Amino acid sequence: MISRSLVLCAVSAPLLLVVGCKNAVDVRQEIVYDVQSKNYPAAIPKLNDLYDSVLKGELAAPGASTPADIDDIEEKNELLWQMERGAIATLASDTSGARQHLGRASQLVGERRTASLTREIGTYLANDTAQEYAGNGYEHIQVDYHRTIAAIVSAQRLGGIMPAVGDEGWDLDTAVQAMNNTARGMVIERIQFNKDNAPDLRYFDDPYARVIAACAVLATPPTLRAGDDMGFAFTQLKAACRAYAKQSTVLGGADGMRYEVPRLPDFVFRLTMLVGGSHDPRGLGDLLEELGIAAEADSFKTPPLAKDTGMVLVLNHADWITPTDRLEINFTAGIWAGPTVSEAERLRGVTATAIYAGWSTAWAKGPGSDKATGWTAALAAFGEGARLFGQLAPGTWIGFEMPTHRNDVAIPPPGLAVIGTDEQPLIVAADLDAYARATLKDLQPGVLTKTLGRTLTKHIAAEVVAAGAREATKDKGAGEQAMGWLMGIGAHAAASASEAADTRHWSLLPDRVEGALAVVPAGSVRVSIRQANGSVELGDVQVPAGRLVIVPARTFPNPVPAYPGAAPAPVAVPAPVAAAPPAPAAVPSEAAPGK
Amino acid sequence: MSKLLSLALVPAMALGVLALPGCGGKTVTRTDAGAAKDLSGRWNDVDTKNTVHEIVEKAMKAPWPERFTAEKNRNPVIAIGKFIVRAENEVINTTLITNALVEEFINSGKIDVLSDPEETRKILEDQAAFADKPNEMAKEAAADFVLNGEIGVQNDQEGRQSVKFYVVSVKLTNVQTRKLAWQSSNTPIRKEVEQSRYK
Repeated sequence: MISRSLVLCAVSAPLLLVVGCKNAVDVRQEIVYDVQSKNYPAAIPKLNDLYDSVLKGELAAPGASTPADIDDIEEKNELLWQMERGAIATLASDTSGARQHLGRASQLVGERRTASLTREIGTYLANDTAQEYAGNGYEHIQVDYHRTIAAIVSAQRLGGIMPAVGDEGWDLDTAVQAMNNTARGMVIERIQFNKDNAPDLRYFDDPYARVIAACAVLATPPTLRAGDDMGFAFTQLKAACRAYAKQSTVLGGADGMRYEVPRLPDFVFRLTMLVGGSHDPRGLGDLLEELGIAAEADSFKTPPLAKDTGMVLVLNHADWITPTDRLEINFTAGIWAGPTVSEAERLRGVTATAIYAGWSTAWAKGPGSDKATGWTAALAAFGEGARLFGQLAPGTWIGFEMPTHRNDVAIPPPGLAVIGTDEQPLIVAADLDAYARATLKDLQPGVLTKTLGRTLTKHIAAEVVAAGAREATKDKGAGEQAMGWLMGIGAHAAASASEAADTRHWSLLPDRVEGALAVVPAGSVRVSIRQANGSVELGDVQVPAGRLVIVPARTFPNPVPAYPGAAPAPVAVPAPVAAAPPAPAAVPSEAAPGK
Repeated sequence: MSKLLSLALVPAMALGVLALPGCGGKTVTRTDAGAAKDLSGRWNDVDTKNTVHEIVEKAMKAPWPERFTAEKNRNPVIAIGKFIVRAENEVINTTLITNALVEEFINSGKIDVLSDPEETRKILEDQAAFADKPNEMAKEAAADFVLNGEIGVQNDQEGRQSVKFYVVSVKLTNVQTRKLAWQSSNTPIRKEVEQSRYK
């Protein structure tokens, strides 16, 4: 009889162990550091390994002896892999690669709106990591945002505004069409979908995305503007102003997180005044009244763009979004367990908080573990009671995990954008970190309910196995009784080990985007960013009269620390100022942003 | 022990359910190039073909070609300009549209098409430069008219259901007088897309 029980347990235990990789959080942090250090050859194999995907000619894992013969992309985590690879391509100035990866990611976002039955069942049987990654609303918008920016940069290179960097793989007309249409999809389709399908979220709109959609129009050569483009741009700017105002009340001051965007970022308002003033003065007046702004106030007066001037918008993508980490809650019956924190974990802000009750221990481990003291105390008391009454065998381990974020800290003061001779303060226009935190907080009650239900079911099943094994061996010898006991605690251990928090997220997103706008004379303009930790040269751009030039930047005022064993970061060398490209193809009569 | 057996069967059955969707293969079917098959609800080759055919048909029926031929005793020459597309999250290959237009116009035998892209570029630049001076006469050009177009999409979406209207509008401008000679649009192409809750 005992042999049959052993077989059954041997069969069922691996089924319970359908888990995600336990050290994925550490690997993601390593990738972030490698990318921050521009060590892409180190980051890409780690990313490939983490999401089990590889392109032909790449290494499938760090230390792999030979490159892959064919593309091999795992379906479950493809969206994440494509998003991360798109971010790396963007950072490496590879607009063609960014287009390829993010284009596929955008397609997957659309496809994965359709919930998969496999995904839903897998979530209840194993854990959340068993399901296909479908992404969060703010990530879906970021996919299209980065596609838009990549297309804008590509169009600016093709138009001679920025220095050319190799073959862009398409022509100017197509690049302009792509930047406008991707931006339209981002603000019309994606935001609407989030609104329709995220009833649990406190907020779904994205004012910054709306600003960028308007900027795509302003960056479009007038000969390639559609009849309704300027109307669309002003509509988006108006919607952005309203959304910023609302967001400051919904996200600003929210518990446990910081929202760092002002009520109305200065450059957004200036663009709105400029476009509204020339395109729809009455609509602009209504908007100002709605926002409670006196139109005649000097500080808001924006003169129309002169015939021989253009605009430069610097977009500084700063630092890294807070990684989703895991908070473990554990209990061991009849054992004083002491949780330890490794160096890599300490660097992530992980702490451990233990509660001892009688001979049992309950502990929480993860960022902000002290906040889970109530949970651990209750678990310790309940578990020790169950042990004393013989309901739990000594050595039983019960545990589960929840996704969490580390404590939020204030961002360093934004620096200055130096555009020609003009110095403009950078203003936070998008706080992606706040979106990530708010989304997780809003979804957490549902995740917790599902996790607790699943954990309870698994441990009831494990206890049935344990009780069966005890019953089967109670009249046997000491050796077989010990085997029965081991089977029992093995079943509980398998149930606990199978619980892994779903920490998957787009880890290479910036923490925030800061913007600064300057009106400059048409022609060559040098652009740089000055921050507390140094200057970043962004090169020269050729500003056409009457148009907007967008200069994206990536900086790390608050860099992530090196992980143990990391290759030393390359010595910071100021970026060489790009040679001035040939003058842009003549685009006459671009006096005003109006068509 | 029977309890233990059932306990083991539950996850085994669940694993079977999880494994089912992985089955399948690839089949290739050759189809008629004119057959319409909408997969994503986006603009496709059949839309290009039908739209171009309709535009050229309308252009031929309009009075301007006959009037021009009677006046100048030769076929009008048109330059195919830009097709600007505004469609959410969609990039339409406008070269296919302009190529199809060239083909249909030439095959009509009543309208000639300027084939030199450099000359076309000059005409478009000249048009842009004088956009705000419509009454000013332009210099002699290699074409008599320039055809520009816009493809716009009206997308109505609610949850998993969406309806798309593609509207293509074209404008024919007299290159020298800068006056609008003809304007038309196609019969809107309507596409309904519904995504199921589960796949």
